[in-house]
Amino acid sequence: MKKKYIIFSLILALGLMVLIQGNANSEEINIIGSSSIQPVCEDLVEEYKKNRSETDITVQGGGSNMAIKCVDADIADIGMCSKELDNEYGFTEYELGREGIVVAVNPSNNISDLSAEELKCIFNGNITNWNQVGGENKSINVFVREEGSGTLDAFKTIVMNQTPILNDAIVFNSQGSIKQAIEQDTSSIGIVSLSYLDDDIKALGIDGIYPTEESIANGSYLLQRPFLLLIKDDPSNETLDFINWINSSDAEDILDENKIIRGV
Amino acid sequence: MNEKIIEKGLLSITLCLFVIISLIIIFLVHESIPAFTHFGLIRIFTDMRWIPDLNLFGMLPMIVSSLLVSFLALVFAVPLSLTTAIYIEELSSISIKNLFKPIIQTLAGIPSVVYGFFGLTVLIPLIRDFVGGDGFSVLAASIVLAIMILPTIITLSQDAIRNVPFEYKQASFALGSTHFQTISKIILPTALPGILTGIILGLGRAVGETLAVLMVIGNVNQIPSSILDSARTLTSNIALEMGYAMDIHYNMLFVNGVILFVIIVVLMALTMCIQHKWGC
Repeated sequence: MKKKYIIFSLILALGLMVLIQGNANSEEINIIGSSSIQPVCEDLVEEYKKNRSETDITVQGGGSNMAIKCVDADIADIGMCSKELDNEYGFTEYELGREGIVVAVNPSNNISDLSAEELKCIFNGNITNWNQVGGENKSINVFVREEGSGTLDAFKTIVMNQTPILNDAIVFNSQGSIKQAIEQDTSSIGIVSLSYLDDDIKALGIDGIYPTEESIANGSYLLQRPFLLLIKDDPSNETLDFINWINSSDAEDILDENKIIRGV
Repeated sequence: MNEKIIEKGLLSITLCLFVIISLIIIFLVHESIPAFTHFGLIRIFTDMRWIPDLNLFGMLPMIVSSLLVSFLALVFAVPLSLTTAIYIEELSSISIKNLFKPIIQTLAGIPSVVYGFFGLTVLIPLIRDFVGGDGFSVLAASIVLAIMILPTIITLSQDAIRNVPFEYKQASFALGSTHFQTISKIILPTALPGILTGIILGLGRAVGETLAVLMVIGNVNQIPSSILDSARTLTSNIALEMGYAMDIHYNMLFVNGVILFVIIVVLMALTMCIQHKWGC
């Protein structure tokens, strides 16, 4: 009995030691920030680690504000920020690319284009029926993301001029569930990012311009936001190496896969 | 010597658990204190608006919605689970009993996200097409919750019914009552404390359930005026906003947690009360 206990505690202690050792020895990069950039960043890190397994990189969500706070407080090496930044902090900004935000409806909806003004009225509750914008006589169900989400934030800044969104808009906690809901509901309208756009939902044009890679890259499509990496002034060698690697062709493939649009 | 080591070991592990629970409670309360002082205890419970951008943090709609959804779930779940429990324990044959046991256990083991997904893809289109509204509603959430708490109530009711002394049943039959009379007049009243415990535990699970509710309730922050309205519960509010909350907003979510905690403690006290009173 006693022997078993001693062996058990020895194994436990050994395990703990290995864990602590493992953390202390490797070179670490902490990446914190917007949950919209997080999946892209995780893909990048996975690819990056294939050749450099000794570098330990953690990617965490938490929102763009968190990124600014953490980089400023030296908690994170790299911050992921998915909105335009007035650079009062003196971070180095590295733009991964730009992401388009799509206003989508059910494919059965005969509307394919709305003006920015109509869009604003739908989302602030002044227009409540599709027939007010030339569609069928059906009330509009508005689907949005939760307060604080980067997608909603960009939409509010660009389309709503920071006026509030109507109170009874249904709130979803992920792009996937909004897409799912739009797919099922013939009278719905919602916002998702370009990477979620496929044949199951229909993207609306805004003032006649449809979200495509070209219209986002040349800036003619209004609803877009930058994906920024924030870095403090004196980054570690590991951080620099990672940022330099993002310019390589390996990284560009991953950005393309995630529909991050680069180069204007 | 050996005995002592084992005894002390068990004691220290138990103490660890106690310390962990205490730390969680202390942390919860500590993090929520700035919010109480900033917004005022009374306003938190009376204000109708939750707009973090404008520093408005009224939780009344969420508290009402949480309780409403959970009680509605009970309304659906209790008759279903009681009849099931009575049938399995009193009327069914051994083979049916053996068939139902794993089914109910499986029901308890399904992850809540699966229930949520079921609600999102099956229930919501059904409600939209046949009942009305846009589908995301208190009704959808309470149906999903009802299914989720079924196994809790069924299992505990079954135990309670099984524990009714066999002599009671024999005596009742001997006096000439029918099987139905025996069930309704003898077995159910005797098993009532156990059944109530099951119902309260089910209610506790319903109040605390997050993900499945989040996916089907629509999360509009309002006091629902009908069961087809969308609403937002205390739990789904925390899950929705914790990723972005900072400063006072962050503390407010802990107040959310404290309120949930208080509700659960009250429910637990209620079960203990019942068990103490009827001694089971």
